[in-house]
Amino acid sequence: MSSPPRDPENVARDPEVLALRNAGPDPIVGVREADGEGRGSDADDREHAQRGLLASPEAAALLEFSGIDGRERERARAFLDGTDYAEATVYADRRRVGECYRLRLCWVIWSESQVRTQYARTYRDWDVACSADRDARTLRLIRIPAALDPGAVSSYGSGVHTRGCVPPRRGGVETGGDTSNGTENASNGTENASDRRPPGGRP
Amino acid sequence: VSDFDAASRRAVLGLTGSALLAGCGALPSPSPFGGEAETTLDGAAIRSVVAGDGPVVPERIPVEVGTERIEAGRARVRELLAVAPLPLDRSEIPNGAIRAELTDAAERAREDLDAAAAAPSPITALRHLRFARMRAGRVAGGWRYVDEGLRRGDLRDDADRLADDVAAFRAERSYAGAPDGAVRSVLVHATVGKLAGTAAGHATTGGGDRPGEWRSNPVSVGELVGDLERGGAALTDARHVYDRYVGSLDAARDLHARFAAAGADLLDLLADRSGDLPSSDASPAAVVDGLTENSPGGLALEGLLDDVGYRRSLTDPRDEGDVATVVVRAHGRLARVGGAEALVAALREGTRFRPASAADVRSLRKTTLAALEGAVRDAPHPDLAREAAADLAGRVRYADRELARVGDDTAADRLAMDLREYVRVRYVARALPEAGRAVADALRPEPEADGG
Repeated sequence: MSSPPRDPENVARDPEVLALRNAGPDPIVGVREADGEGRGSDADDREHAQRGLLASPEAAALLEFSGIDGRERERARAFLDGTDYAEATVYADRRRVGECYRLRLCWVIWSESQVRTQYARTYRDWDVACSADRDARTLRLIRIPAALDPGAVSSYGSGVHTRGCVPPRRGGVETGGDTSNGTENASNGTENASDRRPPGGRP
Repeated sequence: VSDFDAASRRAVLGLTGSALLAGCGALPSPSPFGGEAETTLDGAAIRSVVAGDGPVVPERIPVEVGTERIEAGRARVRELLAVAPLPLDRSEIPNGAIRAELTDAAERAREDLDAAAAAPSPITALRHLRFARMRAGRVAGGWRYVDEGLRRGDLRDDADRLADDVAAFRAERSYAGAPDGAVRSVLVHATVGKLAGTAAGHATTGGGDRPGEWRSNPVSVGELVGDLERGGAALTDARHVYDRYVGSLDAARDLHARFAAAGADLLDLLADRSGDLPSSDASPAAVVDGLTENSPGGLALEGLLDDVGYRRSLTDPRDEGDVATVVVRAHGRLARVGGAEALVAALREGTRFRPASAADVRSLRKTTLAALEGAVRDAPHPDLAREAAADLAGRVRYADRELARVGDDTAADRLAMDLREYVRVRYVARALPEAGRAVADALRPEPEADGG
């Protein structure tokens, strides 16, 4: 059984992943409600599944899919069932994205206490009909190649770049560290015509 | 000692009996930690301080920009805007985000055209037109992606050609100037050099090792077309300014050696002067007893020390050994060093620039504007001062815009980030005349070499 090392940064740039998208406003995944009295470990699994971290087949079984068609549900279920939870943990990363954009996973990093993802956002093709004002939902099931203890993971985060993938920095992801709800670190362009920022020390 | 110093002392000392002032804008409440009180300011009064137009210092160079050059720029923008069938609709570009991006670029190109028409000086008009061309180029390029299948690779030849043209211009240009007007000459040649640098910086199809999918869509290909357009415009402007200037000289002399020597002298002077300043790594409290990070004075000092520290090199690789640009950059940096020195002295005397009321904000801004005006008025070479003051005016406008958004009751500390710009501008502006004199001294001919 591989356990996550203490080194804060384990990086997977090309992890096994299943990407799902729902053009509509409905979430793709939810957590099955408890039937009757949830016992201790069941309640824990439920809480971890709410956050997206699945460390056992039991926890994975709590996920319910919607907003995607039957075939995709089967693929999602097969991805979860095909995970060896003694060696890996599945992170179900839910992200909203503008309807006219798509996300590509750049990397996932993890430690005993945190999981972070980074995405690159790009336009969908110009001839795809979509609205600049609407959002789509995405879900990625990411197989982290380490058996994490979900109870020890206290920090989750995600960032989005609009100019391609940026390598993870040592000691953490992104600046600020409050990207847990998908803050866009979009530095969208090289605009410097206006004086919206103070001019940066032009010597 | 200015009024504002008195005002800030009032903020620190005048807490007892301050209840009498309640309702008059200043509502200090004692800090639980027994330090300086948290002061709440009247946001509406502050918004009124910054209402209206901010300061603009038009750049000027002693070159007559041809009206035909400006008209050609306008015509080029119109030509580029005519490429795409504006306004774009759903059937032309179904992707709404891409459509919105190109539509926005077209709108902003038209705003730039308006700004060029209203520009206070021809050199500023050319600057607006370069941006107008860049934005109009984005629209045209985006549409050509859709309509003609234009891709990044198709633009490589254009980029290479621009790079070659810049290199050729740099190789053939001289530093011809008027021997008795070296400051004016250096300003013109630095303007030319910076324009050539802009052109060189845009003569690329954007390499980089990041996966390229984000760069293959109408918006990013449009951006590239816009960049090349702006780069081409910058080179044309550089040539224009250069040709006009050299053509206007009666008795031209090559001033390259004099500029180079002056640049070296000024760099030495800067090294000396900067060495006496506190390190940019020092904490504010280590520089001035009791100084905290979140006062306008402390923040202004931090920014200035950062700028004059050696983290940023004085010689920019884009200048490609442009001896004139080094001199003009040194001028700006000397003013920042002088400003930092004077600011340290003021802070050591106890001034923090913490406003106790909206009236203090008004007074700080007023002093800043007066300093900015004085910098140009009292400068030995006003056009050189304008070059630096234009940037300072931009900082004031930035702070104005930020302060225009303050809430009705705002803690004084929350304004520190914006007010630091006023403080900085005030001190740097006051140091500009001296920096101008240093540049003029450095450019003075050696008696042996140039005299009789």
